[in-house]
Amino acid sequence: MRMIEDELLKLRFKAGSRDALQRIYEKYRDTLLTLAMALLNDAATAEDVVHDVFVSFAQSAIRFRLHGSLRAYLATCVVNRVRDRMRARKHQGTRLDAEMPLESNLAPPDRRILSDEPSRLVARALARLPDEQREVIALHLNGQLRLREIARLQHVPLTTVRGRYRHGIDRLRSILNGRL
Amino acid sequence: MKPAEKIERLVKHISFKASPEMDERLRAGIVRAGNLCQPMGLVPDRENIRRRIMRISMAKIAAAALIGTGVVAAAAIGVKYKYHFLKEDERGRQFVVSEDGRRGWVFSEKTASTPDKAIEKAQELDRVLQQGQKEWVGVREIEVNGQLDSRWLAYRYTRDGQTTTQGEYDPNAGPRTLVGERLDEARSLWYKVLEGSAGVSTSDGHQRFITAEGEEIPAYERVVQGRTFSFDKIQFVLSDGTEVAWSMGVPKND
Repeated sequence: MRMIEDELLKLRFKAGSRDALQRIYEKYRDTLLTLAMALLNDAATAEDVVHDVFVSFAQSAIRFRLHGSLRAYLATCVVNRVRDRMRARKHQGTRLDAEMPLESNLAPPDRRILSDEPSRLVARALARLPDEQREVIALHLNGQLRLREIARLQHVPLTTVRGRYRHGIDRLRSILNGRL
Repeated sequence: MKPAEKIERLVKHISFKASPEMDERLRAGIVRAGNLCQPMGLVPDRENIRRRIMRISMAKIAAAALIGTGVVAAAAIGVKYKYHFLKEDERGRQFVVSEDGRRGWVFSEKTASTPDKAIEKAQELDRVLQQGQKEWVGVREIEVNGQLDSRWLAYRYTRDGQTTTQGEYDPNAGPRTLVGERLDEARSLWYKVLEGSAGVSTSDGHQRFITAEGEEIPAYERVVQGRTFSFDKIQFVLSDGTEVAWSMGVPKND
């Protein structure tokens, strides 16, 4: 049912339906946000990433040609944007928020993202993994991509992806040991 | 269940949801992109720049709105801001934000009924902040579990009949541990008590406040930085058990 719905959504979106775009947004917003948070553990950047993915998607209606899974496509877009952000962050050495003036301290709390404590704890633990392990785990478990698809995305053999996944899970177990 | 499977399940079940505010921002960006996409094909980069400015500023605008219409959250003296119109909300309020995202204003329909007027008003008030006469008009003190946590000082600026109020924290008062969601919860609880209370005049001519439960809100006088203020103190307990006392003081007229 989900696949059929996605196929219809893709067709309607390509035909220029704004309702379809809205439905896709509503259907995948929190999934992509969770994936972005699993990869970044940073609400502001996660919001930016999800925003950029959907904006770019909205702009692509005319040339949109997707034969595969919509979910996998959007998840891949998130990963690519996250990689861009991480590269930029490494170069800049500071986040935009860090440059905010003192007056921002007067602002009310950040209400970007709603979540529970276990989710935040796991996201913090994921943040401590090496990038490639975190990416495999988040894409597989949160983005629901198959390891084979992740191997294609990461341009590495399937065995490497399996290794990254296994090592990542082991490391998470050690980080989270006794905390949940 | 094997330990690895347990970890997989934990990761699989993490859930982050967009807040209504974030949802609004995301939808606005997508609608803009969708609208612009049809005739133009691409959205100019400026849209992205503007959105980033919006993201930083929305929180500050919300802070300004909490203090009151036409009141700015803080000022950076000597800086000249260029403003953009941000939005008009369902109450007809006009939101404007400086180009660099460092300052936001919100105006009631009565103060500024159009985007142009709102921008003009924001620039006028900037001049008031930078050149106006400064008057200390209030103090807000927050105690957490009996200890002073923060002190907020409010100043009114006046120039050529224009008035605005800004506040700043006293850097020498309290560790400011009540921040973020907990501060927001405290603020809403304070509002709730205040909304349900009624003012009564006592026999000695003073104004007292009685809560909806019939309790008198404690009042006291205290000297802050050499000046006497009359405080009303409202106490409540946050959902995490933190005891908070929220005191608002106005200068005592001697």
